[in-house]
Amino acid sequence: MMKRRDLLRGMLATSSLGVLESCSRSGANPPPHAAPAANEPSIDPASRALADAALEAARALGATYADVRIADYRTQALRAREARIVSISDETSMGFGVRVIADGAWGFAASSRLESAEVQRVARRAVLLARESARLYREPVRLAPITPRVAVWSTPVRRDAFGVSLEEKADRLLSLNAIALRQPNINFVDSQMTFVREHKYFASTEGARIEQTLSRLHPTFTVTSVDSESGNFTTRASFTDPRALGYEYVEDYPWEEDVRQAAEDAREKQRAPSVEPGKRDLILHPTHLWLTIHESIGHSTELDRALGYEADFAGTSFLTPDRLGSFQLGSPLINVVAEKTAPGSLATSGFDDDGAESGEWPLVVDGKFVDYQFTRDQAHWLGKARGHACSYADSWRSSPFQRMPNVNLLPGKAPLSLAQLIAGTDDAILIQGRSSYSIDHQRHNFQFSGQTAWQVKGGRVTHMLKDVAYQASTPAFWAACDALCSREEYYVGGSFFDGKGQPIQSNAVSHGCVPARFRQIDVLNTARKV
Amino acid sequence: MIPSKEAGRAIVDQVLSLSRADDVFVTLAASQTTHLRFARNAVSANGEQSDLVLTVESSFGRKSASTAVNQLDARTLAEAVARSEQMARLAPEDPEHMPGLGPQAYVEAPAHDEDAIEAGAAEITRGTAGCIERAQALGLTAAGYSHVNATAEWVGNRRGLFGHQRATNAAFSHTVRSSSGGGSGWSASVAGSASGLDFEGCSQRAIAKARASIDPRPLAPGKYVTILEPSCVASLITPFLLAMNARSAEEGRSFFSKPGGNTKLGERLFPEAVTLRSDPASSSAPGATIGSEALPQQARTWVDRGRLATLACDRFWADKRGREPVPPASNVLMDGGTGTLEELIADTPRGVLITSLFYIRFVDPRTLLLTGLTRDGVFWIEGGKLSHPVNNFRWNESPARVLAHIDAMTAAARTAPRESLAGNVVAPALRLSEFELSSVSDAV
Repeated sequence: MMKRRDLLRGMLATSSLGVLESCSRSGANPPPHAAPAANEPSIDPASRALADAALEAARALGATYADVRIADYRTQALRAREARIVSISDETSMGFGVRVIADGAWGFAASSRLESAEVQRVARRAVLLARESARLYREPVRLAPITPRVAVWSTPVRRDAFGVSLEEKADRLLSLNAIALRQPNINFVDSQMTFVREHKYFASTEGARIEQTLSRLHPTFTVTSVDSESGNFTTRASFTDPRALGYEYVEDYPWEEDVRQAAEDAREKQRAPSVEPGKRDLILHPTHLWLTIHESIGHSTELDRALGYEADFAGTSFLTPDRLGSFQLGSPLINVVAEKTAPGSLATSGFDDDGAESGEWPLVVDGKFVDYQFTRDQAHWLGKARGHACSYADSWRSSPFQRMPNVNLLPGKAPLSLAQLIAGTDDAILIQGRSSYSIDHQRHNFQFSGQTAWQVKGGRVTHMLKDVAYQASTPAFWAACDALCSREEYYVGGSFFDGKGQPIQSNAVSHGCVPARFRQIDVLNTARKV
Repeated sequence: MIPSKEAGRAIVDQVLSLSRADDVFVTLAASQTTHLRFARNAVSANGEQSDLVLTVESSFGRKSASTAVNQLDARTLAEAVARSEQMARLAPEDPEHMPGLGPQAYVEAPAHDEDAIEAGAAEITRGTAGCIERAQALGLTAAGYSHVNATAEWVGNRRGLFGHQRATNAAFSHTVRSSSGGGSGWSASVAGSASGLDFEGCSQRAIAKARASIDPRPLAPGKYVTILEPSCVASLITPFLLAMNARSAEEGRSFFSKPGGNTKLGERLFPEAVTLRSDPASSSAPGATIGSEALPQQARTWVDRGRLATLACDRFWADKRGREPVPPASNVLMDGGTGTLEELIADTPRGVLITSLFYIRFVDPRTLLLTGLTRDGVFWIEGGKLSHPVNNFRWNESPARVLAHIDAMTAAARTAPRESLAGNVVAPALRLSEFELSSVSDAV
């Protein structure tokens, strides 16, 4: 477990490597596979009968394939500011979605009314929409074969977050807020916890029957320091990340250390020198680097983007199919894997929303782009026999499509701790935590900033810098990576809200990585006079 | 199907009658959507969804909690009320809790079209087919998305508050790319129903931009005289309005703050031509009539001839400061000038025309600095004419600086930010004396 206050103190002192602790909270990579159990789903007979009726109705109307997801989602959220709980909410959303192939085209319809007549109506609408769309299809849908499975899968959790009392959760938020407000020059603190449970039953005309329960949570806080004389204000958000874990994540997180360090950081930002723009070496901490991986490698290796299926919204990709297997995306140090199997990671599940079993595969090997993310209905676009089980829908009301699995940067092979990396760096900026992020529609040009930025000079962390952001083009950035820490520094960050599609859908996804150094990246100063 | 006003009210009343809390606030939200997506000159996805969500917020003294359910059988409703009451009893006291409002008067917004959904699916399929045909005939590649939504909302409590609003919205977003991938153009249309969507106009504009943007010439990053098309303006003024909050300003943590707990209210921040208003009853781009905390939306001026005139203020903060609460705006109406985009270009000796903005995120809340990219058509203007396409850019700019640097504007019209397609914005095209293009993007 990383103790951040000690980490920062260690970096600022940095004469002794012994005070530095590992970034790791998830153990070594690659993680063990969380295998689905071959059990009979325990969904209630009425829901199962509705699912069967939907499939039968679609088949009777001429669908050559149909699947149905009957799902319920529970979201509990607590928000606090200073000494008050601002809101407590607990929402459930239930419904079903029917997806069919008729006349070679997809059709999808969904409803919240779990009734026999409504199931028939929705199945009819899905077939009708497919038939109308078929007139505007270029080629019929082709599904790569899968083995239809009867199975049950759940996110492994030690303590179910929904079994924890609201008082315990509210006390946790109020006590961390109280600690924050006791810190000098901290004026405000906002904190919140969100817990999600996604329970879905998938059945298809191929014979699959799969019940899955996915759990995830995201606790976070932000402290604010206001200098009323100058009118300046600074913030620092927690270094927590959303995870597919139970309440144990909240219990194990070093809240007090992070709150105290956050307060210190927010104060320090008030007086830190503004960064000198120019080409600078960067050391990116995994609490920050995961988002750069997500945007620049995660999205550029989506096959639907590369082929133009996202051209109107999220965009396309510079990694076009002619570059597959030959394009050097980064330095030979860069190895990136995709997986939906790592325990604790957000995209992990036993099966995707096509009913295909989750797996792991390389995207980048020794810097070379070797594979895409794709689903069973996309496999033939690449001449592949099977998909990579990347299909996901964010609600019963949403149609599944290709969504990002967990995409991880593998650790360096040679032993290298963060402390050693810093000690071996003459002049660089160390960036921690996620802040602003933006990338172009072909995933070339990006700009990121962090929660904190530190000057590294002569192998030591010397002081904080403010107004720091960096810009780069994806291949040039990854080519500039000349050092990766080793596996004991592996850390998993992620997001609940990866947006894609029209209408937009949210995908929860994690990215594991280690601290990494990048040479001569464009750093800009974001201070402005308005 | 969207329930009738009376049927929805009956559900709200049923829930109110189940409540044993000191105070209860009920919201019922209905939605129905049909949508169609296409890419590579073919349909790629479609769908229809309907949902009905009931939220009940129960309070005992200053302790509150809420639950939401989307199954409306008697047992689920009773359980939802009981669960919200159980949670509220467990909640800590909130010193900022406000008692429920009494009866309110909500304006009727002209935002509903009875036949929107029924007719919508066929309309958007027809419109899409035409766009694909036009692009294909020219050897171009079309992608896009359209939807038609119907929504309705009911709010009520036991203090006599009742409100109902409903709306229909349709949107179409369309990208055309050259077969080489070297040119790309985008256009969008928003309306109250699918029949109001301008599929053909979008098609023509996106095709024209795709062809005109092929083989862009390099242009170095820097500050240029820049014309922003209305959608770009919508993308910048929407986050500006969202940041207009009295409490954060008075707490010293906002662009609108001044040292010592003061705010910029009343200050002249922009040229006199800049006026930003909201009005739920706007016939051009109507907004929600029921605001946050069930406060009625009404016509308001946020920036009045360059001066900061209004900041949103929640009920607690308004009560504490002895003023009227103001919910955040539900639409944005920016006053324009006169003339067309073509006339504005003709009046510009040298500069850059930006037609679409993408991936916009805040960088610094102190200055409202945003970053983002240009996309699907950037052109160099020389001697009042579009001279040639130029490369895309990453930009770093604050909407406050954008509004401060306006030197000309066209007439205003309904538009939408590219990324949300929200149809609640009226904006002109703007010419700015400078706009900061930070670095080159190789994307096309």
